[in-house]
Amino acid sequence: MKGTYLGEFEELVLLSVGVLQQEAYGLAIKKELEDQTQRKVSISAVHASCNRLEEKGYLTSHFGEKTQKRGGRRKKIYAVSLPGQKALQRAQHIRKSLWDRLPPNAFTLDFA
Amino acid sequence: MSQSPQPYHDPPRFAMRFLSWFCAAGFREEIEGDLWELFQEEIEEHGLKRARRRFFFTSLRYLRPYFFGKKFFPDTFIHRAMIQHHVKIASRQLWKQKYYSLINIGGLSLGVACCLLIMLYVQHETGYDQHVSTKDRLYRITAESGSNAESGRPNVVAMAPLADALMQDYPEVEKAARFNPFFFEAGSNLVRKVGDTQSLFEAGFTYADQEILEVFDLPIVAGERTGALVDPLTVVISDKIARKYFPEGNAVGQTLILNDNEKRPYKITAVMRDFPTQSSLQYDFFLSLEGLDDSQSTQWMYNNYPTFVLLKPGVDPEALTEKFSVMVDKYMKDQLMEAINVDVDKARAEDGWYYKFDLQPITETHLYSANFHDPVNRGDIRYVWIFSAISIFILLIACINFMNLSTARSANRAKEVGIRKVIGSQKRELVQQFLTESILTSLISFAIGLGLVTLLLEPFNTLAGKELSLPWTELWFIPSLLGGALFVGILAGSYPAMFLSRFMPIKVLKGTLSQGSKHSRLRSGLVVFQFAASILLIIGTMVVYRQMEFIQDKKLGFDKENVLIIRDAYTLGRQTQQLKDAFKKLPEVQSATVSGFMPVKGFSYNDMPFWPEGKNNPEDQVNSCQFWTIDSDYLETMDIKLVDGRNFTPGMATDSGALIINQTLARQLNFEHPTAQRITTLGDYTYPIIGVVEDFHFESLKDDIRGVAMRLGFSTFNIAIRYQGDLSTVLPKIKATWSEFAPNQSIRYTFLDEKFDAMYDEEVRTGSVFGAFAILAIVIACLGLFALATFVAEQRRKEICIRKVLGANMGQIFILMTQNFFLLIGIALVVATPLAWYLMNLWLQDFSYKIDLSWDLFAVAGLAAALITLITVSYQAIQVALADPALSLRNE
Repeated sequence: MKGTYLGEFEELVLLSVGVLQQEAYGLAIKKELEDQTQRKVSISAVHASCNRLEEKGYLTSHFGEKTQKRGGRRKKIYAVSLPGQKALQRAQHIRKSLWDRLPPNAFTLDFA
Repeated sequence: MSQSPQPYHDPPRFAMRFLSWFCAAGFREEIEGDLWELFQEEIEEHGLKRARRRFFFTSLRYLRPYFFGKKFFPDTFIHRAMIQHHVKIASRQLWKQKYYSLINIGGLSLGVACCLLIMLYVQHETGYDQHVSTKDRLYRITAESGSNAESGRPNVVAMAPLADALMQDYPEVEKAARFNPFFFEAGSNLVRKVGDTQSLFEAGFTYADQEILEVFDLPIVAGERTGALVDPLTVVISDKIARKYFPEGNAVGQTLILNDNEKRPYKITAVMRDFPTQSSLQYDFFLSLEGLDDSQSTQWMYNNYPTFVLLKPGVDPEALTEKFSVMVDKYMKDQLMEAINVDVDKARAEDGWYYKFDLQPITETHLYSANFHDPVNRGDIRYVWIFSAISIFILLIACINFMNLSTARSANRAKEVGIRKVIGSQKRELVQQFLTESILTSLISFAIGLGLVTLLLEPFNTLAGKELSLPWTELWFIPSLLGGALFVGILAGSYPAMFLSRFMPIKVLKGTLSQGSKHSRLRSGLVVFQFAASILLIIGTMVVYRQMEFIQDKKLGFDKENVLIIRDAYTLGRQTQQLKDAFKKLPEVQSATVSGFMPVKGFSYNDMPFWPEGKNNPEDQVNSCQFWTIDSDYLETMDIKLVDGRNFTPGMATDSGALIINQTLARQLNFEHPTAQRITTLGDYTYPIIGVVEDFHFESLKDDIRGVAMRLGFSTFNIAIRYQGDLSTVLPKIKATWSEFAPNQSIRYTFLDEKFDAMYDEEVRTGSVFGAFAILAIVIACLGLFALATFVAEQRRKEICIRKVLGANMGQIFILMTQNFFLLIGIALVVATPLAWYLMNLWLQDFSYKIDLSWDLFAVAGLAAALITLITVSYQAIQVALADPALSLRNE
């Protein structure tokens, strides 16, 4: 029932996890997203999104070390699973094929 | 990866606990860890304080169903079914226990109706002047003078030159604007447009500066605001008046004639939007102050101008007020010395004399002017508080009914709870079920209460003198009603729900749970609270009524009955005298007098200081005396008694320079033989005193009697007629006589006693509103008591029957059934009496002439409460006492 559709934010989260590799935990993902998109991202949205993606099977996770900075709590580190990679590729593919079908002068403005 | 070595701070503990409370366990470690880390970074970025605040708000963002996990909503589908189930069971219960449901819903609906009405009233009262766009910067000037001996009451009427002085001396003031609602054509007038012959009576006139239009940012419907009141003889009228006189919509540029005075035609320069009901300003005609000589006066001795200032943005009113004190020395000092020989510096040093100006925000003018000298009757924040408190009391009383009945009947539900628990119900689900029941009750009550309010709104408006309506179209109204219903449902239901769901299934099913009589201490406490609140309201109502009666029956020093006052007599000019003589010739008329000064509020007042001739120094001066102009028939018409000297004699030339004073003034001037003395007033006018009259109350009985001096003269505003016999025979003759003199003008008259009663309008209204709510509170409390008595009777039926079998008589059983309730009422009386005594003394302090709070008040209130209880309880008690024991005991 839970669809295979990827939302825009989910796609960005997935990609960030891929970028961050071993450092892909909630707060780091939030910062990465903020840096890349130049917009405010709330930590709660990242958490909700990561956990949903994990439920869908697009992310896997394991717990890291306890640190004092985290009040003795472990980091939950995410990694993109195979279905996650496939979903990303599918999303990219859809976009690419749409771009390809675009007429050559579709977005060029006529300034003459 | 290395971090700064500083120690880590703990995030706010409260927020952490909150988070771990609602957040499902699976998410917790990740979220808490990340938030913790984020918190450390934010401390570095924003500092500890802001970081803590941000932490709190961030944690709030996790408040969404997703993070609750399955804890709260195991599964949405089952959840819906549960609710359906709860609602079904709840409605079955309500239906099954019709009798209790009726009492619960009935009481709660009444309570809700009360609450809604009072809420509307409070909302209306607190919403005054909120529509004024400049309200944040607009202030009314108040002036207060006093000394060590007596602190003054702030006066909202200021001096003519004050506005200009404020503008010139204080750069913080953007604009200052004045009214004059007292002079010549202010108040009410006869109005016609040029060309018409018939004049109509209109009220709501005031003189005003052009700046008034600007500081209040009055919306203009037609014409131009700029310069509208700059020229003499211009007028700005309200839309309502414009439509009345110029239905074609061409009012601007037209001319109005006031009081048939063609020499002073007023040109309409603009039409403004009507003032909303919640405006402290209510006028229909702004006449230009330009050309009114007094408006240019440089006198700081006379207060005739309510003044408003618009401050520049960002000005602190308190700092500005402090700077106002220099005005006393700069402008008033010399004039005080010159006019009444008061040395300001000396008075300050010796008597602690002071004079200070203050700023009152425009939005406070309606509710916070109770002790001010204000020409307009305003609301009072204390009544807003009192009524809010009453509404909360009434709602609480209704909620208590619900709690008491639910817990009392717990025995009947105990088996149900036991079975449910055995089958597998969780405590939480049982709480949910009982809450559903109470919320359903509350929802039904709110619906009925709302219906009641729509029915009762008209009578309530008449009673309270308001124009309230239900704000159906407001966005907040329905949601807040639903919120209220939910709140009341939870308030009333949470205790019974906890109580009922706590039952141990084994005990209940074995039948060892004692029958609902447990926790009767709490129930008794709640009943005591209900009745203490009711007794408080009974006493309050009685005190208000008694005080009003006292005022109305108080010896006033004049006779207010059978006096008719004809208004607008000044339009006849010198003919007034002949008209008066014509009235006197009527057989039913005992006496008639021409004077603008009547001994009730709403007629001319004239404040003056007096001192014994030759003693113009502060110690001998009597300030704020009334200086009235009357004719020789005045004392007879008003039935004011002479105690010394003589009345004015018509035709005696020397009398026109003589005075009659009242006892208070004679006493204040320290005269033993007043009729041999001469006194002086402003302008160095000296008069001999020829008579002294008994004191009479010419102001509200809230105030002390002040000195009055009366001189013979011609003050044409009104004719007062003392008549005898039936009004219906007198009035046509008076009307006929009037028409002979003024064929083009319809007669306008009032009665002295009506005017007198109007002074206490607000108190009488408060009294009746109070009374109505007191009755409601008692009715609701009695409903609960009745149901409780019924329940107790049911519970103890077997016990009573056995007692009867063993030989108890009816009287004993009756006492057995009622004594507990009387004990509770006794405690309630003991609790309520001192509280009522304290509160009512507070209220009575407003009156200079007041009743004493005697013990019989409290006795009567207690007796009334006891009687009501007796009636309520005895029905059930008698029924039990009369029951045939065989019928109840047979089926054991």
